[in-house]
Amino acid sequence: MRILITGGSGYIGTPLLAAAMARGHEVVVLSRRRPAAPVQWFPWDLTAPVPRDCLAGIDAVLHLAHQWDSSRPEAEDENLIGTRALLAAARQAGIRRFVLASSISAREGALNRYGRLKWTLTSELTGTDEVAARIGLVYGGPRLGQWGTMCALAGKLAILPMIGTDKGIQPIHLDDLCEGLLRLAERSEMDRKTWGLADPVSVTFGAWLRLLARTIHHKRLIVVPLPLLLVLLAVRVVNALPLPIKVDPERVMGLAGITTIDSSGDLTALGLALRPVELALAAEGPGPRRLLLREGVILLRAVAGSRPRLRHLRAYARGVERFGGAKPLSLPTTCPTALRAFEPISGPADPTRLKGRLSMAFTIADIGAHGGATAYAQNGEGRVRAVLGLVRTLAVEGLLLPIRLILGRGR
Amino acid sequence: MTRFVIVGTGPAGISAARPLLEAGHEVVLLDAGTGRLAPPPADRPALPDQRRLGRSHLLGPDLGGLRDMAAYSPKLRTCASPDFVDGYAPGNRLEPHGFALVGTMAAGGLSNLWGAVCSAFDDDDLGGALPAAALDESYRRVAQRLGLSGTDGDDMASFHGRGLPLQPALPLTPMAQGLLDRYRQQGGAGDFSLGRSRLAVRSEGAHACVLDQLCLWGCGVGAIYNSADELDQLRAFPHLTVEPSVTVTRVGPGWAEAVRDGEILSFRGDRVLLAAGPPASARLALAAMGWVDKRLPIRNAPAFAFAMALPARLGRGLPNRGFGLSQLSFRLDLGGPMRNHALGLLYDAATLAAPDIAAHLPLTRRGAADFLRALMPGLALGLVYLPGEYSANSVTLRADGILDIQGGHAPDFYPAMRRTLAGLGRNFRRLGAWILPGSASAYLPGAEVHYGAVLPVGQVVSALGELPGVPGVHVIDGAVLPRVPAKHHTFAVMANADRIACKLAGEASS
Repeated sequence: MRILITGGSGYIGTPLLAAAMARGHEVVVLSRRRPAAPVQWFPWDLTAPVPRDCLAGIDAVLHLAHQWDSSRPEAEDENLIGTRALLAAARQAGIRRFVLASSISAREGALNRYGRLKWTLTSELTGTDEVAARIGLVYGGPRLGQWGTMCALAGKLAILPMIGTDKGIQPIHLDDLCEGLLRLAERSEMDRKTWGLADPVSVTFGAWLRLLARTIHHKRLIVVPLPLLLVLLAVRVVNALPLPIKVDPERVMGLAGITTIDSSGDLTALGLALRPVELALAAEGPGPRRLLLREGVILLRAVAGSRPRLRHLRAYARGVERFGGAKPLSLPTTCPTALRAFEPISGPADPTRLKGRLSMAFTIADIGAHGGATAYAQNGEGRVRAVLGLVRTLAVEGLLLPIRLILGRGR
Repeated sequence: MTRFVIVGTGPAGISAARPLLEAGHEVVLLDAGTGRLAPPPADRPALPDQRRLGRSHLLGPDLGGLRDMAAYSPKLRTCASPDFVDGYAPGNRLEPHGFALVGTMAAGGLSNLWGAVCSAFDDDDLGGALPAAALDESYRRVAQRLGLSGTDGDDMASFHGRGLPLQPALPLTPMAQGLLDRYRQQGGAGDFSLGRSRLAVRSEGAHACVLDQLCLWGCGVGAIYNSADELDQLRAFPHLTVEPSVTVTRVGPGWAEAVRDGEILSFRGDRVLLAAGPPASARLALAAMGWVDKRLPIRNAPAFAFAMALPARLGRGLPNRGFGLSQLSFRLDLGGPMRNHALGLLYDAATLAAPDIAAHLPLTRRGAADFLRALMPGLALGLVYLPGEYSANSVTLRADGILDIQGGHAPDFYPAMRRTLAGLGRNFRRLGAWILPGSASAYLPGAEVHYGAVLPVGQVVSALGELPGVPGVHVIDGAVLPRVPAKHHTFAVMANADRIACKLAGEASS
């Protein structure tokens, strides 16, 4: 087939055209930026006329392009104008199959403009082979777009205040989405007008953020729900003040207006089985090696008190892989100093657990005189300093002992 | 010319091979042959420099230093090659229970990594079954081969044995020297003596110690005796055959059967000398005698360690040069019914690894590092051995050919350990050193090696180690010592192997 993809250089467009080419399709791209893959490309944005030659020989159009910022009134939005123009050109060129990338949030009277625009455009798809894909929350792949924002959000803080935490979201992995869109382009019979491309089972937005924190960042995240009205008020206040930051209320409304759809029938009809979210997210997170390196940074710092050397870090990761069961620990804290409070007092130095791992870190660093702490005062530190140091160490350790007794249990 | 088959290339096997070869006999040395422990480069930076450079010298090849070796002696903790000790028990069909069995298939045996402490056994140590005078000649010959260094001029000299050819003693670390000076000023105290250790470490000649403090990580210049080095020298004898990579499975009169890569080989000789290490030799001997399901005691010198601080040295510097083995030895009369003594060694903590010492402290790793930094200049680690009578280990050859080893301490071991600690505490306090409370800990049975006296001369085997009912098969390693006293037994084992081989060489020649 010969497929026209608009927005072919974006977060979804880039892997989509790669997937289309991998299946042997010829691809033509309309986009503002030149796509990464060597395909026939026409520079185009939604306000420009559709290039004449781009539709020659096309069997299907996958319309992904979307312009987020608009200074026009809603009825004259670039997305409406551009999509209508493209649809008209396609009809004129005799192209029957037209797939609009739409959204779950597309509905009449949606809270956000995006949802209303997609709803309007969907209602204008009148041909039998003109359909809309109602896409859920897309995740996976390079940390771009909304996906990148969410990853960053879930990884930055320990406690995250957020609106819409109880709203159900329906995720779909980027690769599954590309597969679904291509099947819509390739499908011979079009028996439905809209196709839900989203996990039929929804998770709450709060649970989703916690899941991201756990699988991508290997940390625990506490999500605190915020009331919508309060936030809208705050946004208005911030925007009214002469501050360099402006918050687009559109984003807030998008979160507040999330709805759910029943996509199971659509997925079955397309023969599309979505990958399990948790497994897919685990694959998006860092591999065990990277996790061990991260663990090494914390533990080596905890024993040596200074930034670990790269060679020490590598030895740590390799040592745990060989003798420590290779599994990263779930550390109670990422703060090296605070980790002291969790160090078990007695028991064997089992290398699959915290005590054994700390011993490994100690053996690697051997705390030579490189920066932080050292166990060897080669030139002597003088009697006074030695005695004071001894008293301080024993005082700190004495205070830590009862804490370690409680926090270190079972580690 | 008589043909001797010797099983094992450790100190006992090599000590027997040399006099036999020198007498012109044919010798076949069977070596389990996983290669020797690779000697470290001779020009490596000294220990203080390794630490300054953050060289991670504790890791060893293949990061072996990172595995959990808490149960092992600190000597083995630093050898760091995982396969150095791993193959010994399964290869020799030994099954230890409650016994930390240490052995190696490497050429040179455990002399690849040892404390190199050498004391001659006296009549008491030999339990009367073998007169000490019978070993005198052999002690002298072995001392020459070892490159023994030490002194005849202190209170421990008569304990280690006087009149042996000695190279000058190595320089002590300031901590050890201070302790010894204090002891000299105060004089001995009846039940307690302190002096230099007697070590198989050369202080003179081409292979003299370079004082880089890295002894516990292997000697780069060959100053510490290793029978793998001597094996290389013996290869110059044309009538020596070394058979590598063979594990002996059975022996009998005039033959030894072995496997190499799954293939069964047979070696013939007029006499077969077993020197595979006491547990492995005992298994071969018991099988040859047909002593199945018979329980025999196997002794080892049960040991404990303690830490001791010299407050006068707080805040001083650490030694830049020195050797890393035991600086001083001491002896404490135990009194009681056994009328015997404990032997101890003092190591300078600065020549050990802080992480290993920290493993025994209830502090956080970071706290332990700070604690040790303050204490290290005046910190000594003591290793104390009690006589083998305080051990209660046994071996039994099962019908399936496996030697079952059961480990245990005699009921009076812990009381004796407490008495010893109290006596040492008293004596060291006089010298301005304090044993750290709670620092003493006993090793698992077997962990400090010193195995022996499973087939004692005069009780099981003949004076020449020959097995009853199996003519021509001799056990020549620690297994045939009449006793395992608190003293380190390698020197006596080597002298006894030399004695037996000299006798056999003479008989064969005449």
